[in-house]
Amino acid sequence: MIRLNFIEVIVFYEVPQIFIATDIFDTKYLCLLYPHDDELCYKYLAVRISEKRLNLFKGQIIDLLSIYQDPEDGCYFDVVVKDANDIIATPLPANLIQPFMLPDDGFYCNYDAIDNEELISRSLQSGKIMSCIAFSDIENSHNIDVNVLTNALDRYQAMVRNCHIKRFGKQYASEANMRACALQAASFDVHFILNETFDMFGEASRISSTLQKIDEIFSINSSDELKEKIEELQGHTLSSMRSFLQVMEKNKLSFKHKWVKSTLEKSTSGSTISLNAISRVYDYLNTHTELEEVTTEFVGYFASGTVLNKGKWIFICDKKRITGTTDESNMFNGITLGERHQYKIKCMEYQDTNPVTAKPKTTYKLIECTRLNSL
Amino acid sequence: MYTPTKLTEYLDKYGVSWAKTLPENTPPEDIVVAYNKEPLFRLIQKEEIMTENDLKTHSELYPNRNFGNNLWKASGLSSLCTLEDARSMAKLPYLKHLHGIAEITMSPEYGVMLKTPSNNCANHYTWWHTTLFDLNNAEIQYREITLQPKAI
Repeated sequence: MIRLNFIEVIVFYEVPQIFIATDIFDTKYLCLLYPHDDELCYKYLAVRISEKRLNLFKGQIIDLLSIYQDPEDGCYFDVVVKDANDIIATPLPANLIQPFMLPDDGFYCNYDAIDNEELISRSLQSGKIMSCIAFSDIENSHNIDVNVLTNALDRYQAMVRNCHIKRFGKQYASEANMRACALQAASFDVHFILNETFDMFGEASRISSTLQKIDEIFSINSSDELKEKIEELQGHTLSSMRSFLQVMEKNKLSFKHKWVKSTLEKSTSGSTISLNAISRVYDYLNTHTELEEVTTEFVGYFASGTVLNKGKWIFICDKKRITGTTDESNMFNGITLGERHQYKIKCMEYQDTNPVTAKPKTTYKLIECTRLNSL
Repeated sequence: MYTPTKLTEYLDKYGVSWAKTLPENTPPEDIVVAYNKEPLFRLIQKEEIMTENDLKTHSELYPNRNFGNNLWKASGLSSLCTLEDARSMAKLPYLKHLHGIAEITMSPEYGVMLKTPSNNCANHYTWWHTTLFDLNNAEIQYREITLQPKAI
């Protein structure tokens, strides 16, 4: 007989259905309630479980049945609970385990460190939409390399911002600016305040729909539907999405994101994005990089241009200075500098992050140049 | 999502009676109420009918068990605010004898709830129902316990 100490309830319905207990050596036992007709006690089927395996279960990586089908040390225990201070485990031979004592296939833990109500109440306090993202590695190890975390956050912000601009235009870009305001160590839940204020119906509909748009990409299984949805986001959104997913894929990270949809209805939205879903979208984007291309046209005049230095040039359009490069320096043949000589230029637009300020930076590559007239 | 309310305000407004004999200080003062016809899901014994047996609390079913400090919770009914959570719960051995899910369109007169989440399920509520919750008149839809798609 082993006396156990109650640690935490994992699943509750009428009574604790699954809980964790420890023995005097701090070994953890996963205890699962099974039907038993005794007026005075509850009975649980228990297995010893390592921290690592428990984290896999909490992180939805393995299901409950797989733990009971293959206990780490091969041992089972019958646990009698009279109250929280009276928990006794007795070894139970494996051949006495009956099917009615086991869960169905596919019970995944949904251990949620992100509390919806907290997100909603903080949204109400700040008057702005709150969102969060949590990263999880394949072992749900609850730790993460700082460089990976900062990289992932930086690229997630870029993806959301670009998607928001794509859908609503540059005038609404600032709504997608995210300010990190809390970090929970447990599974790296980073909370953000976004910059769109709620309307009279308690909704920040634009930014919420942008996040929804990103989210739905990962729930698509059919390649035709994926193609359709991804093509809607052509341009910088896709390049920043690929860049974000590259960090996820390289570090074998899955993520879960969530945001407040309406403070009036007190609703949140969001989902857990698995490694499989990440790989599916990342692979698609890698084979369709042409969808990331953005071409822009300007009308104005050349202020400078050189065949050296990667064909650097400066173009003035509406008194705005645009700089770029070109791979075809012979494009400058016959071009006259100065305000009196007007040109229409076509450029490929690329988005990068300034390494010093970490702000998004747009660069242009000249691909076509047409002389308009001379003033 | 249900609306946070004070129990005293709720009782003043609706003047209801509890369907079961409840222990002292139950329900607690800080509760939530479904003012906007929100759904509430409860696992039930039969597939397409909710009966009085489905409204028996654990403390009523097992009066001799020691519920300790949790008697207040055992005198209420476990319920969930999403269908997915209800379907997931039905996979656990102790709950496998429950073969259906009732989706009740809630009305404030039906009683009060308190969020009593476990770490696994933040959508779990304990519901203390009133005598005004009538199985014959309540709007109840029956949902199948079908297998959920595998979690990602």
